[in-house]
Amino acid sequence: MSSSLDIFKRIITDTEDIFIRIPITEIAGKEKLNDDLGIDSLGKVNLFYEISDELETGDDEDVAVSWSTVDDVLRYIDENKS
Amino acid sequence: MKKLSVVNISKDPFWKLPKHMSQALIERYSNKLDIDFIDETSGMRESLKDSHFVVGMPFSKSALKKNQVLERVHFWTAQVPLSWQNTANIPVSNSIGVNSDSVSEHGLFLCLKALRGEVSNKEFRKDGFAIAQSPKNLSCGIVGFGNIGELLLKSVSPLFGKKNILSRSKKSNNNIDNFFLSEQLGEFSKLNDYIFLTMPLTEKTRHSLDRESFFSHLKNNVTIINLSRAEVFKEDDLIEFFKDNVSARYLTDVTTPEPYPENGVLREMDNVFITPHIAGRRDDIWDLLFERTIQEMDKWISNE
Repeated sequence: MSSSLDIFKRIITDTEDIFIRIPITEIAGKEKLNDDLGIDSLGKVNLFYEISDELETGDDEDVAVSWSTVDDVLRYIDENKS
Repeated sequence: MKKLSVVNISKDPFWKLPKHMSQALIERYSNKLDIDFIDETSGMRESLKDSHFVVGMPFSKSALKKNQVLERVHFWTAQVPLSWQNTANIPVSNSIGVNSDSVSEHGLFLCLKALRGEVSNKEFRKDGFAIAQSPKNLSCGIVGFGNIGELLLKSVSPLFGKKNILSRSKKSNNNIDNFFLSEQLGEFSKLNDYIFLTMPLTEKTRHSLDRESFFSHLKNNVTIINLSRAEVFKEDDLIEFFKDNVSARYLTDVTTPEPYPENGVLREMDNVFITPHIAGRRDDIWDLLFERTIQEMDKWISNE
């Protein structure tokens, strides 16, 4: 099974409306979504949709509001992947 | 009744639909449509799932994944999100041209700021004063020749000695000295002292300006003015170029992310000047956006 980081990287790569500032290979977990990756609040919502759809979580967009770092997203993926 | 959703989710108060315009939409259409104003992203997808017409600030197509009834989308920006750019079955309109005057004026402002030596390193200063450049001895190039590019050319033509255009298709204009097609980017880049970027962000233009295609061809004292999007660059190559060439200057209204962090690398560089994506902020912009919205809405309704 893919690690949560692999899932995250694949979704970032495959999603058209999400742009990041650093090479995907450099992402490790501690990066801040906004300052380091350049993902703004709408980008976070887009990311949330893709992850939520993939994991079939059915959660509200509010989940993404609390995401500040890559690790926050990875934690969400960990909690929801089967 | 069919449903209109107004996606009014910008966190920037300037880009929230003015209240009197919300009221005007209700007065004009509430006898024909259910109107739903979406003011935040929480619950947005659920709200959009039964919308027939969606207008508003840009949002990803995945926000409409649950929607089976969508007929039309209209964005309040000229830039259409990439996920919507190849949508065959849903008409997608945008507000292209609405902010062109304002953006080209901002480009002129950045140009004059650079010409007058206000963005500088010590080369442009003597005895503590900035030294202006004489633009009649300089060449300028504009990348992208749509509404903004054409208006910008009109503004800067009286200033610069030579004017060059790079675009995906040829257009004639009396103010152009040389026209280049997109594949001639290298040749174009060598010629210009000032380069204005006005092209839209698309799959083709995303990360299209990198060391090999662009930076390696530039004059080492070039001035680049970005009115496009930060994502047209490979950012590492951009930073490397302006660090290695301290006589070159970068003036940009767009960054990744926005707003650009206070401790961002570009802020440490004397030869970089950032405005916080304000080119479209003019006191009449909402009147123009709203007028365009009404045109698109009336078109859709008349086809019903």
